[in-house]
Amino acid sequence: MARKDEISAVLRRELEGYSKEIRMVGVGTVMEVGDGICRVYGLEDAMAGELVEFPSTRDELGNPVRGLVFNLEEDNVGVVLLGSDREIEEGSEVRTTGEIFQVPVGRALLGRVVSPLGVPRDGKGPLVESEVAGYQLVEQKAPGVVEREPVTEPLKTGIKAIDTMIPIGRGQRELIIGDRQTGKTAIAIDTIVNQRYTHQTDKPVYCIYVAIGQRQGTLKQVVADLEQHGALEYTIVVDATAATSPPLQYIAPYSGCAMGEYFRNNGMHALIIFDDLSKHAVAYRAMALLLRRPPGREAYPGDVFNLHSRLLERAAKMRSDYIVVAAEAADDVTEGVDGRVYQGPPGKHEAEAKAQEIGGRVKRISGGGSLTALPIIETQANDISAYIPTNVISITDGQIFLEQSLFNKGIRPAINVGLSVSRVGSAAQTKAVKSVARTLKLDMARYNELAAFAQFASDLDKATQATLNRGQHLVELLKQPQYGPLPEPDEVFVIYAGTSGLIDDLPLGQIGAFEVGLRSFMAERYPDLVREINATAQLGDDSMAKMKAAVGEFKAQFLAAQAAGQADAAG
Amino acid sequence: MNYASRKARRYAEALFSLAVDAECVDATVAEVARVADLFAALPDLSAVLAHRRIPVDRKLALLASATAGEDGAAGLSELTSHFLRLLVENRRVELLPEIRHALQDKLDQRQGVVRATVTTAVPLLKAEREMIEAKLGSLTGAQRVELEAKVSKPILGGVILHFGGQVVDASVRTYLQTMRETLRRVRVSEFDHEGFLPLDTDKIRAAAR
Repeated sequence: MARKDEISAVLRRELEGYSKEIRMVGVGTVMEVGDGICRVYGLEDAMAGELVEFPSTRDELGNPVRGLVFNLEEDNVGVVLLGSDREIEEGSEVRTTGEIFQVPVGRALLGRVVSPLGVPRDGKGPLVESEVAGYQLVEQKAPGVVEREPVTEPLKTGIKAIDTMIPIGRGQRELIIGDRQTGKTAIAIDTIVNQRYTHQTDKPVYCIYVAIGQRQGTLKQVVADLEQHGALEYTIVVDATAATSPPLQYIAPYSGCAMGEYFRNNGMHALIIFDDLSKHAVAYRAMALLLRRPPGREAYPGDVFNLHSRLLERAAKMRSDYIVVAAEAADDVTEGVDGRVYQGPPGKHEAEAKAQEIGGRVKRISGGGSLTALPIIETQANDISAYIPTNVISITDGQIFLEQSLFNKGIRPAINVGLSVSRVGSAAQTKAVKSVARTLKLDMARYNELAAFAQFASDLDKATQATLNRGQHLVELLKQPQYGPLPEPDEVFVIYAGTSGLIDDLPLGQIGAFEVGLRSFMAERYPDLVREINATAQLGDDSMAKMKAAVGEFKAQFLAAQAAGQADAAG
Repeated sequence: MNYASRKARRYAEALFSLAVDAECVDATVAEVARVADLFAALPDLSAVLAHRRIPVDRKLALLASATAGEDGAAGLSELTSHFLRLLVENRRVELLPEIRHALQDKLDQRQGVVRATVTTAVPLLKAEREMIEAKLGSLTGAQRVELEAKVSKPILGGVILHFGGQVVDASVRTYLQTMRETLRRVRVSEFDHEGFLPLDTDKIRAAAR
């Protein structure tokens, strides 16, 4: 039997390589255990953050339960348990492992639901080992200034209101904040779904969705939605739902971040969603209080700011390194003609000058990856001045503020345009979007200022009425259903129709139909415009004029069809 | 290694340094151990001494009568009895077992004694025991090794050596467990449909690691 023999051969080889080396390890004894926390005496050589093992216990996989050294005190060590504490009792032995917490990283994780320890939880079997790129420390230092460069590339959410008014760039940290049931997760999921188009380009965005303290059922739904929209294949889901112990919930975003850093550090792009950091702070608070760390404001421990800042700092756009090669050089050349490596955007400038001088070309050899973070914070009764929300607002590069009242009015996504900002994303917005969206935010701001007077519309002067009318049409135009991300050309056409005032005279109820019609009309009749935007991300003067004419043409057609429809109905 | 809290270690430190000055370290440590044993044997006594509502002078009287020499045995030295009075007055009697361990640790440290526990599946032969003691002595640089031998069938074979917060686990049970974990990580799904493995053992080994 070949099969048996082969298997035995492999196992034999494995055993031959199995070293008989005996290690001396530190031991300690459990003094007290409970609530996922355990105090140990001994363990004198334990390091902070080291993994320890309880040899007398077994988890569901048959491995000893592990713990994480958290507090090193004078006469004892505080250990948080990463598994069940059921078999641990006073007097149980604890051994050091010499390891710091690590998780597997690499493409093997794509399409999988894993625990914060990197263990698959989706019942699809173990990770494909050949695709595991290695193991990464969960706690990593954020890249320093020298290793970064400014945010320049857009990360398209496919949501009109965000891409035009609050644009997000690759490497940015943009907070999604709002009460419960305002569509925070929906925005995050739409953004993941929209990244599908990037996988047809040379800069695909891989996604990581970290569920912290959520209902198992909600996560299950999210995974099903991702799968249904073909987004799971490029997404890693880290499962730290409410049933997970606080230590694992605490570690989950760092694990997810380590998985994302693999892409970032290897010149690829990744998007990570922390859903949500309020529950993460709560899990950390539980742990800190059980470890008897002193409570501060709202009983959070003193380092809860650092907890989130060190996490979000790991989202970054990495510096690109360039070399100058001869024009006819092969693609695998790694050394420049002048032996120099040009670093970052200034380096690129210099390299381009040099390339022009010698008639060569510039080639990127490394770096350029990014990790974009979309943390989510749940507020209570719209209170963004609570402790955790203000912390995270101050850490991130902007926020998308969702409001219950807008949501209930049917304005979805329920983005409060006035309170939402993006501090770095405008640098990443493409010229095409910029050219049509320039006045959008201003129009919306003017409208919001006057919206309170809308009910006296008939008594107001002409200019005010026009502002109100424009605003109402724009609000209508920015509505968007879930799982309906728009490609960039469509966004450009639709927003152009709104900001140019072409739809100001349409009845509000017809805006939705107009938008849908316009998109298919443009795709059918003006594929060259679509191609131009897709290829160059901008619109020349000619194309601009062409788009103007095309939108006008569609409007005439739309009005005619409406009139005909009404005539039919009347007749 | 036995647990001694910070409080207990402070008391032990004080007593130990006084005993060193009085040159009666061994005797003091032995006396404290004796009293600790006495207290452990009489839980009611320690309960009364630790009780918050009993006046200190009554506790002291009880302590004096409990530790007075009887049946010809000598009473406690002045140092030790003062120490016990201090514990009672400071309401720290319950620390006595920890103080005893802390004192013993300090004494061992002073005399260069290393205490170790060796666990085996079958009782050790004398020669084996001596060999382990010699090895341990050279490893830790100890003057003397106090070896406590334990027999535990479930470890199957080999030895487990505990000393000073360290463990050397060379038991057959641990060996087998580690082997099981290593082997379990070899993925049979790597085999192709004919049952042959593309012989990339490096990969498998890396995975196992």
